[in-house]
Amino acid sequence: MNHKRILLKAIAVAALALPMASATAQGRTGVVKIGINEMLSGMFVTVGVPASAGVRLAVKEINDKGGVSVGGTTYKFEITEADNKSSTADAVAAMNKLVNDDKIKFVFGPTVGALASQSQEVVIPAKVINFSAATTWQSGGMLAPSSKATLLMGTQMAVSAISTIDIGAMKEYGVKKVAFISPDDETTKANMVPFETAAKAAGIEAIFILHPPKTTDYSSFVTRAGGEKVDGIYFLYPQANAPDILRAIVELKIPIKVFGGRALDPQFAVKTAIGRPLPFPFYSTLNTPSIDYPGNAQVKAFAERLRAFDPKVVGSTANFVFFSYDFMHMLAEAMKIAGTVEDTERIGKVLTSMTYSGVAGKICYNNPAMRTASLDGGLIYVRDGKIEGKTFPSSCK
Amino acid sequence: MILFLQHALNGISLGAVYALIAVGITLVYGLSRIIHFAVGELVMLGAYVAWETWRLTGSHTVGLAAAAAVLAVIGMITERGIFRFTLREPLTGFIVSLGLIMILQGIGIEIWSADPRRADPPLAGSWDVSGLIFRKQVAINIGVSLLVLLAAYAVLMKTRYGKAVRAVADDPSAAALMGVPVRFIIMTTFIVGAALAGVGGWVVLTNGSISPFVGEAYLLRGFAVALIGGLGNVQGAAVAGVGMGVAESLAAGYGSPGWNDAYVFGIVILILLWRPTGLGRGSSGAHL
Repeated sequence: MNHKRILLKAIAVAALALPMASATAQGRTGVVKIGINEMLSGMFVTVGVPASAGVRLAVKEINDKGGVSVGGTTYKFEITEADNKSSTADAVAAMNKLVNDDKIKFVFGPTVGALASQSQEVVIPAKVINFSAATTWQSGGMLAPSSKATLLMGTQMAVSAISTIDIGAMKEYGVKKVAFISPDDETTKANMVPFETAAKAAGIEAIFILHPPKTTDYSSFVTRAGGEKVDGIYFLYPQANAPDILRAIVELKIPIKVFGGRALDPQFAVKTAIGRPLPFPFYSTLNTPSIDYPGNAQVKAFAERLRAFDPKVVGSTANFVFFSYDFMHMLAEAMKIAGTVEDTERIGKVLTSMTYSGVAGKICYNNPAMRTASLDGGLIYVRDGKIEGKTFPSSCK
Repeated sequence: MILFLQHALNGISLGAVYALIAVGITLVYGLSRIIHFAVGELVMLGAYVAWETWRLTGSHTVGLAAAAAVLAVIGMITERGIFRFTLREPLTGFIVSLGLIMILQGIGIEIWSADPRRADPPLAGSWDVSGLIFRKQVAINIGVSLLVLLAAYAVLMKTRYGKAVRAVADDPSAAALMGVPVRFIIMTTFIVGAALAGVGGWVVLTNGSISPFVGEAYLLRGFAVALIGGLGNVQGAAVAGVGMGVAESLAAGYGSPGWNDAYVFGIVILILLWRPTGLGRGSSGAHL
């Protein structure tokens, strides 16, 4: 009887030991969960879909290459994606689920500041690394060195730098007074002060016409801009509504020298909602490289990979893919350097001290005033129906 | 002065949609005492029906007819399937209409997703009359809304059917004793109200982009207009709709535009404090 027991125990131990021995021979493996909290529907869908695709493509590429090796263990990434429907309440609920229910330590999004400024309250106490292009993080001081929210990682350049590019284009066209038209919300307010500062520095008067969110009939606001005798109009967002405002400007015959906007599709200017080219020049500032008008071979090759991966990512807002794609790769590199996939504070410190060579040029957090990323930016002009691009290289070394 | 007139003109276009919605609300309330809050979602459905029809046929005229016709059917279905069971308890009908908002929005998101959609405008460009700019599409939209409202008014005031509607609104029991088919007449107001919302949806589509949430903005204003015009008062609703649109546009033009909603609803509150039953005649009850 005793022999029988000993034999059974030996078989049981052997059965348990076999897979372990096999795992040691093949190397240990693990899974790191990555959360995505993006606007996959709703009014900011054109921002959320590419931002999500960037993470998904990067994760696929990393996993296809066998994953990331950290401390002798090879980890693959697993994505949990949540659609916040472009709503603040849904963004907070999604973040609660990702962080508190699914115990995810790395989350991308929401990319829009109005949503991120609320969902940040979930990630900060949970010590989650949260990547977002939210401008509200910049205006709210969340990315300042003095802030306790050290794991919020801004994925776009400082708004002041983008505003300087915006106003530079207005100045190029000889604009003296510009109307900044955008919804009355946190994202807009985060952009207003840098825009006004840059305008003042360039000797341009800026007036702000904020409209209720969900506006689609811009007649009243455009008429007001005309009444203020502006000679330039700048439209911050939502990008999907740009044809509506352009149609109102053209049909109400507002005499402007140029129309500018953030990450707008230049095709809006070539074939507008009114079915013919705009009667004034158009430009679009990009705080990333352009997918449609790639400035170099690397971006061009990436654009083709991206289109093959997710054909839904189209138009100028496809550029929002750069708010996540390189940063996902950068996160994997930071985990390797930090030697951990658990200690988010250590990974966070590595992220802010490294330089990563990505598709969007050299990427780093070299801004001493706040944790905003530096990466290649761009400007697209439409003049006489022709589209031209210009690149502003990253300041990382 | 030109700028002021331009803002007023922009506002008339907005007000035309509010008037269409408000007349629908007021008709339904006048006969059933049900405050039909889901009418904003009917506008949304009308806009999508017009959009789908435009995609299939390339015609906005067919889109307009389809929006009115399909919404009329939806109006009948909702009355037959839901609201007729709440006629004795209008408060229940109101709560049911709140639930209907969620259901119709959910259906909209399921079928069309929450992404904004737009159609090529039927008429682009504008006329410049001594500095006052008339957008061609806006002129068409105002014309269509005016025609529809005038037709609704003429039917109510000049036909036997209209007489029956007014009789039911004044005293349903007496109307029934006189042989008026009260339940049938009530059902028709749901149909007409929904068809008007369908036309409103078409106007919204031709003005800009649409999404499953587009009804929200119009519902509150449509309801406020119905209150100002006097619940149950069709003429009051039409006039108040245009007034609301103009007030909103002037607020955007001369006030702090971000406070637009606050200005508009501030005016609504002041009017209702001054005249709790609205500006229209006999709005404490039903006067069609």
